[in-house]
Amino acid sequence: MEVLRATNLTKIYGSTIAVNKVSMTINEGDIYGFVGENGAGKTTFIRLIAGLAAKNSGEFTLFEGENHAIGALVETPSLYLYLNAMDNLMAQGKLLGITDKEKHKELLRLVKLEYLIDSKKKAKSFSLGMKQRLGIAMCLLANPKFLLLDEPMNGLDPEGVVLMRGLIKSLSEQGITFLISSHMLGELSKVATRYGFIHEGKLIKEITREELEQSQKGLLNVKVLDENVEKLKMILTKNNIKFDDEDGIKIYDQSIENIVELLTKNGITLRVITEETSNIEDYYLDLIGGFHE
Amino acid sequence: MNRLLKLDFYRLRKDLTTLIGVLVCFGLLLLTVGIQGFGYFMLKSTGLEDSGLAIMFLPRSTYIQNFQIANNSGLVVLIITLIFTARDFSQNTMRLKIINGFKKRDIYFSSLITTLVYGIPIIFAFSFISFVAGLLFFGYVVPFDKNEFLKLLATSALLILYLVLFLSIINAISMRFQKVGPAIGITIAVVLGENLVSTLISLIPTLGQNLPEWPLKFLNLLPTYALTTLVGFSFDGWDLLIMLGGFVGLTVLVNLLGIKAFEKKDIN
Repeated sequence: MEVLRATNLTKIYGSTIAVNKVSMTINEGDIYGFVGENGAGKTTFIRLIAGLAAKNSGEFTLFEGENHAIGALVETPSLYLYLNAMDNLMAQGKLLGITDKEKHKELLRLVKLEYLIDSKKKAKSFSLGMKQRLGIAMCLLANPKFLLLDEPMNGLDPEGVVLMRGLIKSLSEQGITFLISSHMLGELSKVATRYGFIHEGKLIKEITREELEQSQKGLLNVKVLDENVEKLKMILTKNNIKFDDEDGIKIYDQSIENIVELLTKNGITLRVITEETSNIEDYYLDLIGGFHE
Repeated sequence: MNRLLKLDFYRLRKDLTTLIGVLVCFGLLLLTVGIQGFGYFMLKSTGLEDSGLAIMFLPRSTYIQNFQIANNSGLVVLIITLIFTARDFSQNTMRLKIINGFKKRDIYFSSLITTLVYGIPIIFAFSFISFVAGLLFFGYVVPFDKNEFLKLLATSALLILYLVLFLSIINAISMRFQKVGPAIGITIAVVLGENLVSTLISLIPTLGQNLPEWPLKFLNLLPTYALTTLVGFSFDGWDLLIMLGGFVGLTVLVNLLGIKAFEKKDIN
């Protein structure tokens, strides 16, 4: 099932096109990592889908037109800061018609905030990580099938990041589809199953985790005996294998197995071969053509 | 709508600010009753209680004036309801209503109803208790008959409509500007501006003594001018009808504009 289909979605603020004809499809079960620099249009796109902002043009459909709940955490969590955790859930429960306190407690346990069940501590004195997780618990009360998380790891301490990652994985296993925007690309790559790269309001690339991993492979650092270096270069040239020799021998777009087989066949003694994997940050920078001011 | 109301009343009940508002109003009420009592004992101690000076403390006038939104409990309610409504935006909790699929129109009306249910009883209770205190100290002062009683009833009904109008203005401004600071600033500017215009216009009948009476009746379309007419207690059926038209018409207009502005505006 398509959870989200956006077609040419556009949002304009004054003379700035914040989201420029973005078309995107998110399927059930995806953890869609939404990647882009500050001001690229990630938050605006999420706000459009959540109904917080009105589009200027384009269309989007949720759940192929079926009626299901969504949840969203946009920038900062939506909490009643003068209420404690249970009262926050009760307030959300009033809105959703779910006032069963056991259900609220269950959600606090799920987001690892069980110690707040009997606490009178107001949300305004919670840490950011606690607020984020309570925000997610509030979203989950609606039993959403699709969660939009805007920078959920931002400002979290390492423990908070680990908890959030675990929570996303566990909710995904329970069938919730995610759209997650994040600057922390390393963290995002630990959970995302698909990626969308947005730059200056435009979606410039969509890719699955497998495709990304594949694209990151193929840069091999090879060390051979000194007397074999020239022979190796000759063999690589003869076999049309892309390489450079500026800082050791670097071979592109080949698997370790292929190179080991080639060297063995030609009697070259291999000292070391390592695969140098680029990461999602490098991939993103390549896409947008390097660093921008 | 029902769930929105349940949430808004839950917020109202749990929010300490709204309780503080009630307590401040109670304090102001004690002060008002104290001033009335002080006036009474001053008159009594100087032997002037039957001199006609008691008209200064006419309970009927105190009752009507205390409904004014820029006075005593009215001002407290104005600030508290602005904070209460705008805080739904500043804490981003308005997003929960939108994300969970509630229509902006329903959200607007739920907020308005909550504001009315909070504000009107406080201001009414404040005015009524100070009226009763005045009765205890001075009596009704002027003769009380069936006609007087009916006029008092009609006045009370119009005063409630006056409050509905001003609380609608407060709600509309909060929903449009979505921030406590600008909402308070603009509401106070609107309330004081209307007050000033009404006060200036109220000079017209005094200055233009040869003016025909009937066009002047239409000045009652201005809320604060209408309040002045009510305080004077010298109104007829036409005055009441024009006031009714003014209050209802303006309330409908304010809420139509408020909904339109809220529907058009993105949520922060």
